[in-house]
Amino acid sequence: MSIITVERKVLEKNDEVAAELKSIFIKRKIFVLNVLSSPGSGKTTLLEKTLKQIKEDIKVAVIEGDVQTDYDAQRIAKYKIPVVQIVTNGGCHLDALLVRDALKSLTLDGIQMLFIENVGNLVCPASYDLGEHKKIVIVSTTEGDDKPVKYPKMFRVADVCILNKIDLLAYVDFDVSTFHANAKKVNPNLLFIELSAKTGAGLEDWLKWLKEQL
Amino acid sequence: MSVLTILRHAFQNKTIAFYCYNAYLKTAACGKDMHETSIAQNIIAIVQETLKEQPASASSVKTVRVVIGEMIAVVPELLHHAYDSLVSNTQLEQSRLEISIIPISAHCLSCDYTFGLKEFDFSCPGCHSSNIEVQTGNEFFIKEIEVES
Repeated sequence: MSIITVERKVLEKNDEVAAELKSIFIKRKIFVLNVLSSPGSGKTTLLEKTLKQIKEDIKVAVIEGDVQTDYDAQRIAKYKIPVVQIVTNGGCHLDALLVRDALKSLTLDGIQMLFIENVGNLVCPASYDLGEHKKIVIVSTTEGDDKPVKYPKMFRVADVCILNKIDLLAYVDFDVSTFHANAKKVNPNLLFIELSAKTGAGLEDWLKWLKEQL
Repeated sequence: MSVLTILRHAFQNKTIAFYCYNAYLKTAACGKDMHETSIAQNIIAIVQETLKEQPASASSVKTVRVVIGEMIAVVPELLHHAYDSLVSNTQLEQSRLEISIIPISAHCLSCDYTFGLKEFDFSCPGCHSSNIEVQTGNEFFIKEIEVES
């Protein structure tokens, strides 16, 4: 028996491509957001409302990640925004190699902001860097205020936490202060934005933050 | 993953869910729907690359040792299962994956205390400061392989 030292990172290929993507984004001055959440938290709805508000001022493109179907890309395409759908065919997360392939179908000239809507999942996508500038995690009030401690890695790596569906707070057992305390425990630097993508309440805080990033 | 967690708990409590759990493992490792499957694929690719750089006599791999921090949220049973399914009919067929899980530890920059994290609470148990530096728990690498030469 003999031992061969390997000492190589399991996700080295992803990290390598993510670094490559990051340098493309920096060179082209594109601000990139990796949007993460569990399924049904309102990622696509928030994205639609956001695009409607900012598309006149900011040149935006979108990459949609889903396990199956291009329904989300169809929803985004209605806003006359360049969009490409990645179908992972069962894969539970987007990786940098998939994003690199998707970029081949997007014209990046003049684009200032790129939203990457990840596959709905609070576990796996947290480990895969896509070369983004910021990770946004969305939680909706119908999910439970204990999400941050159940999925600590996701909340630890996120920069911004959006609490969506605040219009439903009166009907659900979701305690905003417990949620904040849980999230702060995992990540004291997390920035919170509370809104309802449906009614538009709080949307201005999110749009203000977005514009400040450019 | 949450379904899996429920099933695992049920499994540990020795209930009927044991059967569901096994069925889930089988589906998981055969399809691409698990995090652990793509991780196993990456591990196998790196081990195969490593072998190519070795003399032909070192082709029989017995053990692959990986180090995984608790932050990575890998379920060892699933990773073992995915690995074992993927190596069948390859040169790694006889190999065994050995997983070391590294707990999360941190150092408090305010009071200089070093501690193991409990329940993912990233604040210092000594002075409650959140000005801490995570020291271990983010590891995710293949350490070494053991080959029969």
